[in-house]
Amino acid sequence: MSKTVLEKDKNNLESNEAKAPREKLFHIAKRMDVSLQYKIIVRVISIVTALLMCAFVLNIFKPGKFFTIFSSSFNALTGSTNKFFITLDEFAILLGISIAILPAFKMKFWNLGAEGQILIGGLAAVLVSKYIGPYVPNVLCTILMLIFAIIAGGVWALIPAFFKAKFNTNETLFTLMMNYLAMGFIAFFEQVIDPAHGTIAQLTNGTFPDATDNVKTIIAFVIVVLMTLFMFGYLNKTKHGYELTVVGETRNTAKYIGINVKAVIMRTVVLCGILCGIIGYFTVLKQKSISPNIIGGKGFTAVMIAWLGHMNVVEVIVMAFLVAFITRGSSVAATNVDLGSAFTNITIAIFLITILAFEFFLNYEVHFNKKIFKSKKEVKEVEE
Amino acid sequence: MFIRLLKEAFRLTPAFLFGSTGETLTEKSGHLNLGTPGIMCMGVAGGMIGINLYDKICGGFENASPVLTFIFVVFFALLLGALSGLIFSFFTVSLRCNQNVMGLAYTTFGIGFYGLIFKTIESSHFQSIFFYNNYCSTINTLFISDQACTNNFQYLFGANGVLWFMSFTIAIAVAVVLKRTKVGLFVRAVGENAGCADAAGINVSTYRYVTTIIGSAISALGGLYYFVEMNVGLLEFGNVDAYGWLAVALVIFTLWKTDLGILGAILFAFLFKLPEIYGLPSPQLNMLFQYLPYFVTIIILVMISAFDKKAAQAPGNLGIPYFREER
Repeated sequence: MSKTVLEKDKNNLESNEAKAPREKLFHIAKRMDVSLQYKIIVRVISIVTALLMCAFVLNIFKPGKFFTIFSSSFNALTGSTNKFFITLDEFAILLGISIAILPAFKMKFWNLGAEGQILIGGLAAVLVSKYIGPYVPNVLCTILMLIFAIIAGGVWALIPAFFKAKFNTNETLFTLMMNYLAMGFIAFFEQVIDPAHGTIAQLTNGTFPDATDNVKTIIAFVIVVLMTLFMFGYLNKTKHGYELTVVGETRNTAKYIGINVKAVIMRTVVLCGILCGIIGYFTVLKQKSISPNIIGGKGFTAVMIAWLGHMNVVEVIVMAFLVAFITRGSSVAATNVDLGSAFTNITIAIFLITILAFEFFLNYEVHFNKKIFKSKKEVKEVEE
Repeated sequence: MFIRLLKEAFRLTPAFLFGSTGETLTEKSGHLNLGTPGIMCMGVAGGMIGINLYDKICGGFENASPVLTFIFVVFFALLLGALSGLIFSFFTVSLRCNQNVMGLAYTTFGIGFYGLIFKTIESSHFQSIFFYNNYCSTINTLFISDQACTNNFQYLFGANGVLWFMSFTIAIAVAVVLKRTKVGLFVRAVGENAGCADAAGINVSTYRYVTTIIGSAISALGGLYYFVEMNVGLLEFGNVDAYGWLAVALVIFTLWKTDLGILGAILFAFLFKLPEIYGLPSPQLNMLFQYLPYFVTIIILVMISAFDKKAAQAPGNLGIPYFREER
């Protein structure tokens, strides 16, 4: 008798399920309070998974080379003095750009134009060195280069910021286009300075031609460290930092508590431009020239670093280091196994996309529908 | 001379038009897909994979049939494009990741993937340049060549490949679907206000998935066109993504309308080719002209925000992921 009842129950259950098609297997809810411990665990898992994914991708293209990427990364870091300095340079530039765009992102201003701001700053420095350099002493020339780079970067950043503040123009697309305008200006001046070759020859004035590249890398690194410390203080300890955070959270609240929103937008983005100008200056100092592709899309990588670092200085440092580490590693590995420079792009993208995917677990939680699972389980238990 | 300029401009047009049509469709559903340059690179990669596979099947281009080659390249470009769209929408719709970050990451990925396929196939076929060139010229024999044309009309419009005609057809079709059909209305509703659309019973996720996948597949054809018909299999690494960013600019320039996109793409191509064909008085001006499209786009961007006319605005929910509980 019991068996028939059970069968009946089972049938009932099944028919109930069929009748209620809207019952979902799981639903997603916003995670409200996330403990620091949970955050760190998710982060560590995401980074480890991302590194493994990079190794896995290399393994697809060159079977049996799973660990090559790690060994190359460590080799790039500790192999020789020169290799170390190249890695340090990569790290310094990535960290510098990420730190420079940090305040804008904290204000939810999508500044994709870091590359353009750096290029324009660098171009200003080049022009000063070219046209003012011969008439002034070297030290004065380099100071002038720095000053003009800062001004140029700031002005370049002010243009989209002004229109954002005035008309609420979409800054994502605006700053994106400004990158290419900056490249256009450089291409233009390349033709103006040397119409025969269309490139800018090595500069001598104000670029310290006697100093080695390694020394310049150290200088750049020190400047970036100072910038990072400044930014930490600026965002966390000053009134400016507080104001831009409020503007980023809700613009109306900012307005009602008496913050001049337009002024804050322009001020913050100009700060980004100034810092980018400084980066442009030491890029020129090192390369002694400039070309449209000198930054090579690092502005975009920095955007991803700043976003995945949650606009938090400490996390950004870690992310920038990891990206520099994996970039150098994959570029060394690619030369070793003959895959070409394009492979670096793939590893960076895979690395960042994997971490991006894990963001989901920080922001949301998945609730499985206990009713469905339980009823299935009960049926199973009864059957047994 | 002018006829030649027009011809060259027409020739370049689909490279922008495919990209901007796909991107417009995606943006109309509220997705700002900055991965378009990468997806166009994936289209090129798809073309290369298709040719390579067909080469293995038919054994040498002497036996190749143009129609089958064409089917192979288009199929693989569409496949990789759609796959890119699926990945993009899985991250931005299902996992609710930030669209700009995902787009930029995908662009990086696409450029890398294209370079890698290029490199891998190059090392397996010694003379890769001629390898692709042979196949792509087979496809182009489907139509009359430039030299065989008897009049200007034929020269301008007749002597073009299938993809060339496809680009215009698709642009018009997308415009009609968006403007005149119920599905188009739903897509626009999802893009303007996803919350409202959801309340009206439209499945926001499905619409965003489908439009992004179709849009990405169309964008991928832009890269394929550049590879197969415009450059006839001759590639310089690192050009495709520049066209991709121009395609993104074109979307704004044409105020999110794909029928206007045809004119916009022709204008962009015209500006792009003008210095090359005519040779402006100085090389400096030449350089500035190449970057004019970006400048014009900025002007348009400022103008639409300054005049604040509703019909000309970007979709209201552009770039905002939709989560029902957050309303």
